[in-house]
Amino acid sequence: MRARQRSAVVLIILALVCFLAHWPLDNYICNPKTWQWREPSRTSTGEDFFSVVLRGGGGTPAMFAMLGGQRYLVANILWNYADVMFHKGKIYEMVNPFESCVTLNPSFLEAWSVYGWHLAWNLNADAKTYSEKYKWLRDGEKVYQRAIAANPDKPRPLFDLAWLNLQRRGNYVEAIAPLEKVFYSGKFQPLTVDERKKENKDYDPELSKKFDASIYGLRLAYVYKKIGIITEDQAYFQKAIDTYAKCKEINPDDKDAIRLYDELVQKRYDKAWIKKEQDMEAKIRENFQMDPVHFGGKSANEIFNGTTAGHTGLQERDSL
Amino acid sequence: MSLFRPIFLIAGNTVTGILRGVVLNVLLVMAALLIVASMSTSAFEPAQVRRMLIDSGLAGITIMGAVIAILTGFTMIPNEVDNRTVYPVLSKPVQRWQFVLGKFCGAVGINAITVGLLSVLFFLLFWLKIKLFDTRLVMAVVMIFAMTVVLSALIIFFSTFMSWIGTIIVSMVVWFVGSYSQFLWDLSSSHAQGISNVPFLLVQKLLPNFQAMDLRYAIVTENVLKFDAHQVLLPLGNSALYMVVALALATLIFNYREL
Repeated sequence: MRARQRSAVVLIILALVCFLAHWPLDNYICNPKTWQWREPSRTSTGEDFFSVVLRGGGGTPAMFAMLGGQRYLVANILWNYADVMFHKGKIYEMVNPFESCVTLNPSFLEAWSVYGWHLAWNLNADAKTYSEKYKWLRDGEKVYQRAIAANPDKPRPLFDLAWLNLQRRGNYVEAIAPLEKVFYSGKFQPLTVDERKKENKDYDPELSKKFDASIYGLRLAYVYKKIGIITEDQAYFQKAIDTYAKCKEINPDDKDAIRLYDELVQKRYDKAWIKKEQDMEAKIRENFQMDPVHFGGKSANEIFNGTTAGHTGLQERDSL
Repeated sequence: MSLFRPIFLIAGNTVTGILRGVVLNVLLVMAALLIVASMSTSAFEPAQVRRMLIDSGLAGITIMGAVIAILTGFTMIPNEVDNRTVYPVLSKPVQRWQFVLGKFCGAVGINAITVGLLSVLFFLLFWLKIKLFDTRLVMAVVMIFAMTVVLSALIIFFSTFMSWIGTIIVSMVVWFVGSYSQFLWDLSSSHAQGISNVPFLLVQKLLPNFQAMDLRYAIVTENVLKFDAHQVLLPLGNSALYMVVALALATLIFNYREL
């Protein structure tokens, strides 16, 4: 009897000591200040995981997976679900799964990218009224801004935002800032020639934080060149030439950078070439329903400010 | 040595008994199918395909590892008592604590087999699909195994005084809530009113911290290129302390239990 009581006391003391020892250790690995590898707090943003999943349409399997802390698995399920909806043509039913997907896994860069693309391109194109089109375009832009905030160390969301302004809105001024941030701010490093050849560079923890000069740099130079063509301001042509030169410096074998650099150096003062490019730009803007721009004589900000409303055309806006 | 021999004998018998049964084999087949299914993805870019495979594969091992730990663990002690097979064991020179520890070691063996087999399958499929091997995944799998071990210790503890259905339900809840342990800690430290923090803090401290053992966030968000020793050892140490608490309480209750 005494032996049993003695062992009980020993077990209680052992349990108590271990429990008390585990307390500070547990605090240490829970506190984001001391444990940098933990997931960021969700409570501050007021996100409710369960409502997120229900909204996302993942159904019972997703709910069950959520209960076991399987956020990333649920995000993948929702991604696949959104993909199925897209291929069925139910484009408006993709929005909630995508929203849930990026909420559950904010590091899912492809989901951010495709989500914004669906909003700003597909849903915008499907919308019938100007206000609807404007809403989807703005939503797409907001998605990319959230992606940038959630992944400040990755260049890709910045490229997505620039691409939206460049290709969807035709607002070249707005496309400059994100591309310059990647290319010239010094925050991101360029991939070396060898690194560019590596597969999965978007995934590699070190390489995914770098940028590919032939994608980002050439795009930035293209934006400068376009503004130069529209404003007829030689300063923008010079910026484009400098950017092409920088691309060549990063990768001396970049044939596109070499060709485009030579072409611009040759033609930047050629009025006929500028006029031809302006006509082509006007045609593109008309075909893709971008806001028309005033060519020459005005600064870039004057030209593009006030025409940033989006991808619908001023005529339609005026008719409303 | 004679102190530990009964423990290993009971553990061996437990593993053999469960391997002979149907439950584990059916669950293992289901788990294998889940891992294979999780290898399908509709992502376009190789980088995202690889990330999704890691997400889904490790999630499959975690879910099925926990489910197998619960569904094979809840019967270990109650069945021995109900079928009266515990009497011949305890009538031999075997202490009750040795019996409890033996059952726990048996559960650990089952977890090792489960997580080991599923991991091999996952690594194999990952290799076939991506043609790469990520060493961080090995660490993630080790942590999943540690999670199932802690869960088994808790199941043993619950099964010393609860019915089998109660053990299953409570174990599930502990697993679910433990997977959000760090978020519970956030809740307990974010409230302005001091007293409202107490319930969150108590729940967080009374339940195991499984979230700290989930390395997927670090891998998927590419926060970690290589795991440092202390990054793995601190959560493991924390879990080990928690496991000792569960086993000490299980032994204490089983010692006083009327058989």
